[in-house]
Amino acid sequence: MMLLLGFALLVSCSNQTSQKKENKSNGIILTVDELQQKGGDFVGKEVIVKGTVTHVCKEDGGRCFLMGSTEDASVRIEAGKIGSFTQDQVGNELTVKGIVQKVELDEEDMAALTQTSEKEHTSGEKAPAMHDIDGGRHDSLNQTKKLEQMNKKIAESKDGVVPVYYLEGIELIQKN
Amino acid sequence: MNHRRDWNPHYSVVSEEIKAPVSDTSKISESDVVTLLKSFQYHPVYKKYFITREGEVKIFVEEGTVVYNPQEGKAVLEVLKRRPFFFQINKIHLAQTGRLWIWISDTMAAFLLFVAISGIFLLKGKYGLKGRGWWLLAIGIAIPLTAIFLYVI
Repeated sequence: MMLLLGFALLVSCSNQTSQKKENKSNGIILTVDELQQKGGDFVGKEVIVKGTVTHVCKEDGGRCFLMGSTEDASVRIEAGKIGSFTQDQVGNELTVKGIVQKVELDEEDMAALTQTSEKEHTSGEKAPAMHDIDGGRHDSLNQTKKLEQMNKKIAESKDGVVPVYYLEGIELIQKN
Repeated sequence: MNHRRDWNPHYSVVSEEIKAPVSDTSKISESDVVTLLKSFQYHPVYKKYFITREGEVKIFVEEGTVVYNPQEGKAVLEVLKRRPFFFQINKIHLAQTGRLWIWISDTMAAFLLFVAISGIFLLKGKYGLKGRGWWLLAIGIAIPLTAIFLYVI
């Protein structure tokens, strides 16, 4: 019975794989820069993004960050259906299919991030509070700069919020 | 995984700091970067590099990164190496795999449930539910329930 069950699962899986291959060419293709700038137009939609992996979560590989044309163009990819990312992907070109998601940061969120940052700075630890937003290095000096930049953006925005776009991963299309 | 606050169960960290040439960031080329990597005892394998807005050179190497500060003349290597056995076991434990493994582990879980539940009624008499079995079952339920009340609720 176990053999039959195993065979049925293998057949079902191979069918899924072939369906995935057919879908690979579908979807809107965006650069990381485009996703960061025009992400609002694609929220909830399936897109394909290509970029250089600058960081993979050290804990369980649950997320990575792709860099675009410059260091300032960066997008977070949640592993989602991909499962996980690995450290050996850091520095590689990755093409990922996923659904665009949006979080809005306001003054209250920034105050919470600042509080976390100061608390960790006082305790002498590196402050990872901004890690979930951009994945960059977050020693206390860089973190303070980042928080200042985000606060400035919020102050300049019309409705007092700054949108941050990220991708909920569906499929890893190309690993290099 | 139970001790992940005390150690990284997936990767072991290799760190190395070296003195590097003091230089103008704008004059750094790929060959300078490759030459710099040869100075590390670890011998990292080069992938690519870029200059950060802070004027540091971030170099991607196999399994890690090197951050080279040309103004201060130092370079720091950090490599995360997969822990043999633990890395692979953790991946399947966390179901960070394809759909096939998720189905297999669900099936195994169903079998384990069957074994656990049928085991309650397997023994008869003083070893069964009317005797020692009842106490063992009660302890088996009470321990996780206590943990839930203490740590979760």
